[in-house]
Amino acid sequence: MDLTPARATVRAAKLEPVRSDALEYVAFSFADFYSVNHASVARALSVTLGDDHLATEAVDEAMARAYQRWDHVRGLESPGGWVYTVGLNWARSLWRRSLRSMSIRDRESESDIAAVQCSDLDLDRALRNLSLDQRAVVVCRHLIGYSELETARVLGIRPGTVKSRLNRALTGLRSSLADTDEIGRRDGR
Amino acid sequence: MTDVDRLHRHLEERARIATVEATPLASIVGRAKQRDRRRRAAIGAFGVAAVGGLAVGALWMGGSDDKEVRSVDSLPGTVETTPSLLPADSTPAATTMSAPGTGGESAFAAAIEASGLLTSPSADDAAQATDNDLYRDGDVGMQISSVGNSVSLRRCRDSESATCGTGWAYVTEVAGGGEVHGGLLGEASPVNLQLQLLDERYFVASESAPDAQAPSRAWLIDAVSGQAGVLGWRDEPTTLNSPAQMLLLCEESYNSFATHCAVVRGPDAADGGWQFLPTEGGLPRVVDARDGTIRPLAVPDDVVAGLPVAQHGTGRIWIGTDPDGDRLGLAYSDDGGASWNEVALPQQISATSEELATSLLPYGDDLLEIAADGDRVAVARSWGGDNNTVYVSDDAGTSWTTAASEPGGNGVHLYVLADGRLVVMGSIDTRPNDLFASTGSDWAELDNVDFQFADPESLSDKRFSVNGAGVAMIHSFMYPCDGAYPCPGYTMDEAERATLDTIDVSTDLRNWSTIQIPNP
Repeated sequence: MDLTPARATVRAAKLEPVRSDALEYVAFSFADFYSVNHASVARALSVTLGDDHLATEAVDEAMARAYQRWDHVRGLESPGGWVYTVGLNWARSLWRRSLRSMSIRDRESESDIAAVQCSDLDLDRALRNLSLDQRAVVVCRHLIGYSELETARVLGIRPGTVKSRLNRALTGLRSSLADTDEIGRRDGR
Repeated sequence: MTDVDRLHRHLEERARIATVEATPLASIVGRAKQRDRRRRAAIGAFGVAAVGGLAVGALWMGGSDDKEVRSVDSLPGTVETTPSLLPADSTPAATTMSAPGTGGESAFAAAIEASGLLTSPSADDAAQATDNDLYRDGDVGMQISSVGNSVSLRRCRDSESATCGTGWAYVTEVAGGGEVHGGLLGEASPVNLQLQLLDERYFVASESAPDAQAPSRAWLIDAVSGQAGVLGWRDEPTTLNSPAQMLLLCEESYNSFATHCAVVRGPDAADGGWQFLPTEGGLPRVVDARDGTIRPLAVPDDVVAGLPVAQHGTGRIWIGTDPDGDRLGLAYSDDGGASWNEVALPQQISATSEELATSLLPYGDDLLEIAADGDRVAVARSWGGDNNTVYVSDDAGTSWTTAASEPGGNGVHLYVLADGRLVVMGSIDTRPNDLFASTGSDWAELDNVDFQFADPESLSDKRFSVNGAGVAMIHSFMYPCDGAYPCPGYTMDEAERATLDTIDVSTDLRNWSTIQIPNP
């Protein structure tokens, strides 16, 4: 399932299947869950991580873990959210290890490569300056469409933490964009 | 177009253009089965090692999949009778801070040992607690003492091949990483466990009880030996912070005959001042600072879970109440709890109990924070209020003024320093992130604490440990980019690895000294 630009459509892709009644829930198989959620979780992770390949790896790893524990995961309030968070944590761990062997210059040049495709480069750069935790909250709230409480439950943090991280993230974005505007003015852009 | 609209549009564009491969389901299933096989093999290897008597402590501060293993010198169950709190080459000889209890042989430590309250975790418990596949960072913060001993709480995580058996675990580390121990706690509520520092060595993990009828639980943890014991609490473990005392009130739990309950730092004891006080007759006891006697503390009938107690050297005891069951209140006693005087809280802070009961999450620290010094008292909503305003009274609550500064974060904690100044700490969850101190005796005049020695760019991620005796600022837990990657100017280890490097300590927030914590 593709995420489309339409906000309403994105909200519908809440990374969890619709369970309208108990019968549907019982029939809810991993294969169904996988076909519905793989792409949307991968795209959400891609935005969070800023790395398509890593996002694909992360969602595959998280889906494999979901498969192993499907009896447990399918009973969760948001199986898709669980996969998103597991994938995020897996990527975070992998990232830490791989970055240890990379120079700062290498890391920055890789990040720049990932940025060139989108239309709002300033905002994309500002977004990448946020911490991973902050980006996760931004994605949960403003891309996936979770409420504060849902975001807290999915990420395993307090609602207050969601608020504070989101607040710091938005403040950081505004600050970065203001700096960019200032540089643009000075450069005559 | 608003900022948020612009953000939405960008996020949606990024999601749309992401190139994500559609991995076949069969590949996912194959990966899962491979993980299962690896897991079984790993468990088998660990079992052989355990039978061989090898003590293994996983490096708990590394990434979750990093299986770096740090060997320890002693079995987790081994207790040092004369623990060395710092490695020999790290004794803070250059420091000026007088840190009670650093000798490791305080009366407090001796009383704890004699009580038999603490028991060593089994080898299996220790292995579980330090297994990153079973437990992860508990997200309740880590507490570090002024000499670098630390305790970290960890919560059960889903594991493909094993169950945790208990919801919470802990890991302790002696300054410099010389020893790592782990143990299991109980099935505390996942939303309201917190960690409190008692002294350089002992910590309390406590579950706050939003419902006064339900006894909450707490555990005393020795960071040096890794031992722990269950404390039975009357309700919310109540911390009394003052230069003279730090008190945790409790009584026997409803369904046991536990006698180990109150932990008190007594005033002016020559050995560093710690005393351990088992309860007597089920009543919590308090050191009455007026005459130094120890007696049961009677509390008003309307004291409820989560409400704090504060006492300063004058002997006056302040306590939060819930009069009529529908609002927050405040009372004080000058006679060790025999009689109480009710005080009206500022209107803005006086949330109803119903509001608190129906708040999103029933944190025990959802209520009130108090710091007091005689007639001078400061109050703030600890959590859940609309703002972080601190209200101050110089006349025992007859009139209130608003403090000049409002700490950031989503929680407020108040302390009184030994010199009588008020310290206001803002926190994000349980992690301190903002610190103010009154400029003098006027508690309403608060200034940001000036850390002249610290890199200003890093202060947003500073970590503090505060109690009445002073403040410790932990440098090693600063994350320059808040965990973001890349972090220009910092190596990966500097930006991310949680190791102790230095701790700046101060008893007055003016004169600071640095304790060097050597890393292996």
